[in-house]
Amino acid sequence: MPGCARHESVCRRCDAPLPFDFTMAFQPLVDLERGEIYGYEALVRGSDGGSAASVLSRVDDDNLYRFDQACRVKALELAHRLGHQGLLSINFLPNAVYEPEACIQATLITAERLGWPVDRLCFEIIETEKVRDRRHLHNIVSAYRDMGMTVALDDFGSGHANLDLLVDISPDLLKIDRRLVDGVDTAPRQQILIEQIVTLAEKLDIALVAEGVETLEEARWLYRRGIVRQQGYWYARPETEGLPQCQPAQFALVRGQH
Amino acid sequence: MNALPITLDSDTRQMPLQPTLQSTLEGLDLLGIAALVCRIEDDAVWIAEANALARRQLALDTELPAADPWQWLDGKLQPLAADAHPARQCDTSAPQRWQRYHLRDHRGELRALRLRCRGVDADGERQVLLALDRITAIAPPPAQPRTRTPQLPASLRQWIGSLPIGACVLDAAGYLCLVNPALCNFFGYAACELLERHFQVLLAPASRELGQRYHQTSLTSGGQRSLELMRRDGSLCAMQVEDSVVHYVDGQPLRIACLVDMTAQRDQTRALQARNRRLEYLATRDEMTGLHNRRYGQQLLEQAMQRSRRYGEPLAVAMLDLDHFKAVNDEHGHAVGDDVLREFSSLVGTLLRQSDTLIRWGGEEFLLLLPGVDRGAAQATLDRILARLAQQPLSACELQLSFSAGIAEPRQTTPQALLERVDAALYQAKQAGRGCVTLADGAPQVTALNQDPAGPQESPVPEDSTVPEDPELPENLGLCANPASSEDPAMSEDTTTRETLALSGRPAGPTVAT
Repeated sequence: MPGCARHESVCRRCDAPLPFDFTMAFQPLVDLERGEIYGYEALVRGSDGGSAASVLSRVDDDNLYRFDQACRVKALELAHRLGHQGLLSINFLPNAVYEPEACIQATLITAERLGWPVDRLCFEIIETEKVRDRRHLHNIVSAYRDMGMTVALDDFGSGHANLDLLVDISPDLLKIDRRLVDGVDTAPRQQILIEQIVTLAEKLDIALVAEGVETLEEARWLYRRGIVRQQGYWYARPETEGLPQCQPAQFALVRGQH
Repeated sequence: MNALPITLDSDTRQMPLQPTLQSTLEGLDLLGIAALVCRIEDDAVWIAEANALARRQLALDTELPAADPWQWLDGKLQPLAADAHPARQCDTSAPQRWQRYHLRDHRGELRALRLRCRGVDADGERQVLLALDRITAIAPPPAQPRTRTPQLPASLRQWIGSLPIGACVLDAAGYLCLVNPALCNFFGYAACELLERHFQVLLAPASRELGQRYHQTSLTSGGQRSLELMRRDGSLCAMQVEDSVVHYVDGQPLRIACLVDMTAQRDQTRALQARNRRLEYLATRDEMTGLHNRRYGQQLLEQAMQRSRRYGEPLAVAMLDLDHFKAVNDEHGHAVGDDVLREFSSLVGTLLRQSDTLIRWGGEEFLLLLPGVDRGAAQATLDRILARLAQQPLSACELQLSFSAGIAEPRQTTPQALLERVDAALYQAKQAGRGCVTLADGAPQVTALNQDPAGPQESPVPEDSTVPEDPELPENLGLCANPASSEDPAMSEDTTTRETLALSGRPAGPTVAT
């Protein structure tokens, strides 16, 4: 929104230090077809090794913007320091869209400082049910995409029906919620839903990523239905301030080449 | 395979959101990035759309679409060829890298920016979306291009450099060729910040025009002048500038100027003037009410009488005395008494003409000069003031007060004699029961304050008035042998008694009473 602190240098909403410390963990995003890790998702962690929830519980209305901004900056700095070359996926607190100018400027400045091309940034929109002003979100997502960034819709298919967001914001990527993925190889109702999502994504020309893949069977079942991008414990657990790797054998196992 | 049943919000259904160019423009606006949509034609690039930020930052106030109104320059300020317009360079749908450009608008204002473009399809037509970031206005170069700096002789440099007062050398165009350390210290600049700059940088905005005129019109001779100058921190200072013009190098005139700080002297002079004004105020004014005081009032009275005599204009002089003011002080204290006097003064002030003068004569007595007015009109004025005062309680205690007044006209008398007649009339008014106005050479008038609201009294001047109508006769017959002596404290007791008697209806006083 206009009148951002960055331009007035008075409000300190974005620049003041956060009252708590945090760090980032990275989890690989794999592309089974190409047999490689194409990117990492940055996940919030407590600096003392605490969970994401322990950090997020300290985020309130007052420091939401600063936190959102600090997340992007920290994720970029860490990924750069760790020598990551692929896509960096960062969660995007949808309520931070109400101060998008400050956030994007901080991200752009950091990316520029580190020499990180913005088209290697992906923003995952979470908690979409909390977004009230869809038009506002739509405009921002359009602008992000114009800047060359990728926009993903997180937790797709979870509790809240956010199907309408497919119409509203036309994301580049859909991340299928872990609750649909969990045990999908043996759950016929989940299978039906995922098959429908695959059809939908094909028709809308949106790429799919399956989250929360924890077993080989889940991975195989998803791969056979055409979901070649996956993420989950079966591939690698998130590692704090590190870039976990996968074994090439894992990809071959899923593809059934053994 | 059937599609999932998709349910949409009613809101969404009304306004289907497509990833249109418009939403990208608005989104970039929200992100603080200016954006333009360009349409490329053979001979020109058209601006089809602009987001609000682009309009604001580029001062774009024309209706769109419009032909590209700018001159484009590259990052090194070299103008671009017509076919090198950034929008023409774009041939991909993916955003290109940021590139530096400059823009000059029709006002000549130059802006630096970085730009990225992307090909888009709008209405089936190929257009180019330009994202513009970090738009910065660049100050225009000085209007007069700098001529060659004259080489000054080393002796002059040394001599000026060692002066203990601020000194500088200006060339004919007004640019600083030499500044000495004393001047730099005083103004808070480093020498390199001032050299080659126009001397206007040292002038206060208010004196720039004057300074420029002076510099241009007196290139043949030096002079002396007071100017207001400005330090680097913006503080202003009054300087005495003494300068001479020399022709040192190839006949070019150079101005050598010495600057002496006169700020302290100027401030002292101003303080002195302020003190003098204050003293004058104190000498002529009554501090409590802000009215003219008695000493100055006496002068004013004499002047008014002289003017009246010279121009044959009427003049009415009235003395007003607040009734029972002593009781106010006794019962409510002097603070309330002072408030009453102040409020009374300002109330009367608002009811007078500009040309009338109210003077605090002393205590609760006020002298009123009404030039150009005869006594009848003066009486009407005072009656009006009395009526107004009756509706206006004074001070925080809301005291309802009245005054008594006497009026006289000068008629070839001395101020002293006139004042005696006015006093006498005032005394009559007091005797008549207070709250009324009496003419020195006539009968007392009953005013609204003392009237019975049921029936206003007709003909306030009775036939058998003891006050003579004839102005030639000695005034104040009967009632008070020596009105001047009423100021004598020894007499006041007696006066009070008489007033009381008058109130009780003793026939010796004016026949009209409550």
